[in-house]
Amino acid sequence: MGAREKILSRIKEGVAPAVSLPDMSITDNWNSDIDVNVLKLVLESVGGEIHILDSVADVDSKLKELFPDIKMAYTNIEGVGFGNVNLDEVKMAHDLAKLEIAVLEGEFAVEENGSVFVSDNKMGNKMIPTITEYLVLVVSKDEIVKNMHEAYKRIDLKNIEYGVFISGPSKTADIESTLVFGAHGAKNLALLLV
Amino acid sequence: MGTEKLISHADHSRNFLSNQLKASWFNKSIWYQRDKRDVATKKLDEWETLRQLASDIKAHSLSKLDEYLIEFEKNATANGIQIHWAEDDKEHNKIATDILKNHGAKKIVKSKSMLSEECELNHHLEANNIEIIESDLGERILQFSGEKPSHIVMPAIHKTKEEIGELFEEKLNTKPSNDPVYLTQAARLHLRDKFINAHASMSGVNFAIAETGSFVLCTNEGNADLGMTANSKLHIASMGIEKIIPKQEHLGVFIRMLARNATGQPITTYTSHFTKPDEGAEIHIIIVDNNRTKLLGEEKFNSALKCIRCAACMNTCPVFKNSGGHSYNFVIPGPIGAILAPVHDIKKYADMPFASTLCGSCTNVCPVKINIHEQLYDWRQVISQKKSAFTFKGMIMKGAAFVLENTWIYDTSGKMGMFFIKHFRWLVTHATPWGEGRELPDIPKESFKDWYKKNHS
Repeated sequence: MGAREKILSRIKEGVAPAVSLPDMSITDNWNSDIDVNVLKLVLESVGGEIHILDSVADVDSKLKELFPDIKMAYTNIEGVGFGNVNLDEVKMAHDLAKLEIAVLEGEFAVEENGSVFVSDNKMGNKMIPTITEYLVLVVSKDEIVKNMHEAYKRIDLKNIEYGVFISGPSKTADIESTLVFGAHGAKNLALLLV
Repeated sequence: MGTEKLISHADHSRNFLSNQLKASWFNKSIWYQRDKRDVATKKLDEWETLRQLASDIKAHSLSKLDEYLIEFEKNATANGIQIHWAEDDKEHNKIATDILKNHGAKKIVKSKSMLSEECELNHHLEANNIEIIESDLGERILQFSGEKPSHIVMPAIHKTKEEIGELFEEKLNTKPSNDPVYLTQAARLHLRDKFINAHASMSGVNFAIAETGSFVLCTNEGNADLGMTANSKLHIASMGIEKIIPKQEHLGVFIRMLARNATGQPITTYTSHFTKPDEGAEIHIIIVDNNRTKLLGEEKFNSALKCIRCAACMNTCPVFKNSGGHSYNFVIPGPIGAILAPVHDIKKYADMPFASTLCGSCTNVCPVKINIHEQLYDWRQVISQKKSAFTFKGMIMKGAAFVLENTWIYDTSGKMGMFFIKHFRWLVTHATPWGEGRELPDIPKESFKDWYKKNHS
């Protein structure tokens, strides 16, 4: 008998009491109208910034205002002419190690924790959201959910290779509990609501 | 595991407390975590309902663990993930090493995994000439200093910035500094080089979802994500059998609680879901037992397997705060460690359930409602019964029972005790372990019984 069978048969001998799965519909009670201000405050509290724009057409000019002088940027959002990195020329991590800015489309934002869900089909390359120094996420104003219960109703993990909720810039407090931004991932994060 | 004589929790604690300045600094930094947790959890009106949901989902999963593991295996395999099973730490390490060797992988980046610490994976890989780099900043610091984690969320919480500054000077050629921003930046540059040159990556698993065959990793640094995506064409994730939850919809409950209860953040910076490997890449998951099924067979103790490793129980524990994580000999310290350890080796870890005041604060903050302090008490009963009846404590207890059963002896010994303390006070405070660090109160002129007789009869 291999490890698999031995482990499974020992689990059967276990004596964990039978408990039925709880009714998850109770989580519906915690949904309510979205308040963009709450999202803003939470995102700022985790080190991110938020800019509210009139439309996608304003993204380009906002980016030029935020980043007047950059050498390496990537974007895959249609109509945003900001990027200059061609992923066809990127063969390995070394090629992206100096990436300064990535502008990606987020699927939706979560009011309660300032996170934005980004899935692999919007990343260009899976390493882009973490390897870039500055991450800009563009999300529609209509695509904000209240909390993580609502968030998981929007996703189907079966159809995603890799998907990540990103809440603010990368951080660590491993040195004497002092919060420092830019551990391994992006040092800065901006959410553009359009 | 051997049953070699270990330094006891009490002796470790005495050493820890001998540096009063550092002990007080540590106490404050742990309480700071507890404080942030309180602020975050009180912002959610539904917190207590979430705890009940989390507890029920985990309890249910444990009751059908075999079915959910099989469902997870089926779905993950269909997604192209390769599943392995390991009965214990040795088998886990062998499987991981074999996979790495088959791929010719010599340089590995790993994100924090308490299971890999439990299995002492790093030693095993190094013995096989495989370079393993811890990519979590706290873990990397400890890899430099040759120490074990003292906390499961903040592994290097026991080290001061001055100590880390000196360590980095030696290992990373940094200039003399104790500035956390400068030191973190130095580590970022050092580890970035490791990420983009790694042959493979490794991690633990925070949650595994039976319904979809996906696994979830929660980090603040982004090291798990960068490790898996930067250069690695091979990833190995190690998970204990208890990490399974049935459905995607259940994730919402745990993700809402984990970071709030751990560090007071509304969510970790990265909450990452992995379902399928890249084209041409491989993901392997090693499902590990290592005494977990043994714990599942312990009626009073199996609910400890509900733990999601938030560390709130250690952050709130008065004993942990005043003894440090290294005072516990098990890989997981604090209250949850003290109820997980005995099943691994009841002799080796016999003193751990006694390293508690049984105040119950751990139980109150636990997000999955494990009755930690009751289990600590119950483990004490099991351990005491296993020990010889002729221990010093056992004899004292028998003596106490004899005295308490006889009114005359009780009264007389009470009076004798008062006389003794009054006239040989120095002996009581200096010649007994009880007197260490304690002041003796003034002795009243008469006993309560005498006073009551005089005034109320």
